[in-house]
Amino acid sequence: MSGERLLDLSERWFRLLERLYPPDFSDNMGTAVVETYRDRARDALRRGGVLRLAALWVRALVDSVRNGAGERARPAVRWRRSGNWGRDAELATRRLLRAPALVLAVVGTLGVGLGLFAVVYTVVHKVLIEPLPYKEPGNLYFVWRDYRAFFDLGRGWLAGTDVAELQKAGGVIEDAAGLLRQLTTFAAREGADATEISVIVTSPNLFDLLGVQPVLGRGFAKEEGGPKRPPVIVLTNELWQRIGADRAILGTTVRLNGEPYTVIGVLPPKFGFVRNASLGPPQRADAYTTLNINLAQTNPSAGSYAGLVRARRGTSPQAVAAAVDAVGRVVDARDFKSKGLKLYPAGVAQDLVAGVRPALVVLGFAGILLVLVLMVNLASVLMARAAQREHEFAVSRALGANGSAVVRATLFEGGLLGLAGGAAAALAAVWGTRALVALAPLDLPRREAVVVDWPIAAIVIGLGTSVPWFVRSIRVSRSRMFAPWTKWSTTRFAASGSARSCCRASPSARCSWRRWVCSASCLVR
Amino acid sequence: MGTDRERRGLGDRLPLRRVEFHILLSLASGERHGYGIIQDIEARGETAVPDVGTMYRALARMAELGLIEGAARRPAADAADERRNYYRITDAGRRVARGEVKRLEALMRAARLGRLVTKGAK
Repeated sequence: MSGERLLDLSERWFRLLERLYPPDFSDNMGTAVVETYRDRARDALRRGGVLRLAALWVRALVDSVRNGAGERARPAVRWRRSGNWGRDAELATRRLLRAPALVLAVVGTLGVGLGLFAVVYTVVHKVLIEPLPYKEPGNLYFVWRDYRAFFDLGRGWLAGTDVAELQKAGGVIEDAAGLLRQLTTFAAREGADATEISVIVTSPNLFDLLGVQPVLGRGFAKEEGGPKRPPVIVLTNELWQRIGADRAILGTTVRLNGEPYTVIGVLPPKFGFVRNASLGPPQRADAYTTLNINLAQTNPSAGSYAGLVRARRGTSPQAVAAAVDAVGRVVDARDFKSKGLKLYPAGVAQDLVAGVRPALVVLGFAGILLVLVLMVNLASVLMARAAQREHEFAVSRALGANGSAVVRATLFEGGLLGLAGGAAAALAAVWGTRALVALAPLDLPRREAVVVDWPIAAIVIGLGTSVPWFVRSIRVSRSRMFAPWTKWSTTRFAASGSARSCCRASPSARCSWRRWVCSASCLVR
Repeated sequence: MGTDRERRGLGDRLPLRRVEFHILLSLASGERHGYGIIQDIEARGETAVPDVGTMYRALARMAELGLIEGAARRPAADAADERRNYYRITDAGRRVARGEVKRLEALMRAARLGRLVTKGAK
């Protein structure tokens, strides 16, 4: 047998042994391994003849069995150790790095578009949808005077006598409180610099009514309201932080307008109560103290109190309105000679956001429209990308990649792209929301609650991941519908391509024969 | 700058496997294809020449670690003009090879102190 024939046989043997390695390793290194063995075979034949070549065949067998198994058990390259997912991740990353314009377009579109949507969603959700941080906020109502029988004012403050009447009404009204707001000077201790703060002066039952307990100390006791009440004060967490956040503040004396007040409690950080105003924006407070008067003995024609009532659990708004209206009739008959003064309740949350609701609803719809436009744009970009890759899919299928592998790799790439876009969108949302809050009017209700929290960030990232993934999956399912035609055309294409590459690799007299073999093998697959 | 980190990085890679050190030694003097590396190892008088599979797994591992990198595929002068995959050493690979040489020198010094080195050995 001639040396050339022996070398051909050797090459076939080495190619057979190459199959003992995992496909990924063979794809990368298989040809080089066979070439090196062929060089060794040529050398062995020259130096020691057939016997030495036979020894090399045996050594190659042992080597391939040992290293093939070793490579399967512990792949040399890290990403191969993660199996299909590791390979998909590696290939998807490589493909995306080769298409920086696409990555920039998708991540930029998702980052800006979805980020803006997240800002809108955050504002709408936090202001309109999220419940207020009180116990059963749906049962809390502000009560207003309707003066329209006298002059054009449909939303007026209550008098202290109205609040006293609501407190003793009973029935569906569980409790009521009257609230005043004062701007006073505040000094944390004797001799310290004074600053101006906003103080809500209230009936002592306010915190029980809201169902809120201080994080430090206690709320007001029943006997700490009314004439000759002890001067006590509860600080908001924000004010407490501002003056040093000293836990030993309880029992110390602070000065309000120069008068000493004993600190008895500090409210939780997330507690953000506002006193709705008859006209103008809601009023925030830095501290709370109690009324030093008997509400029942105040001037009934001087409306200056916000009236807050808690309805019993399960009471309908209509029942609350009827109960408040009944109290209003009593007040009207007693203090206004039945000239037509009315009292009416308004749910705390609805009352708070009534002024901004229309604008925020419009903003919410604009956000939805933005996402729809974003999805259409993104779909166009990704469809164009998929169309560009038809050629690549065709080659992969023709070379033996099964359909599920192509689908998995495609969806993985979409998911990876979306994950990056979602993360960019979450960052844009956090910064965008901060910027919006900084620029928003100071009287925007629940302004302090408008922040991107973890659930919103997770929704944004999830949405970002699913949009390109969803578009890819539509593309893939469309491709599978036309699979028979695609398979026929791709195999024809790949067969001719493979034949050409066969000829390029071996430009010999056997080219035509090899071309037929290559074509046949591709068509059989 | 970064010297400590580099030392720690080197420490993670050392000691090298015998086949890895041989590969770096070969590539330190120029680009080589697989069989060229094996010929170098044989020329160094190594009794146990690594198998082809062992060497290519090491090449894959070292390429991933950035110690070597693929060079252009081109015809080999010694293989009837057939094209071969060539490899070249990287800067990181050169640093790791130097680290391994220092480690071996330290071992040799210890062996000399222990009078384990015969007279002819340097």
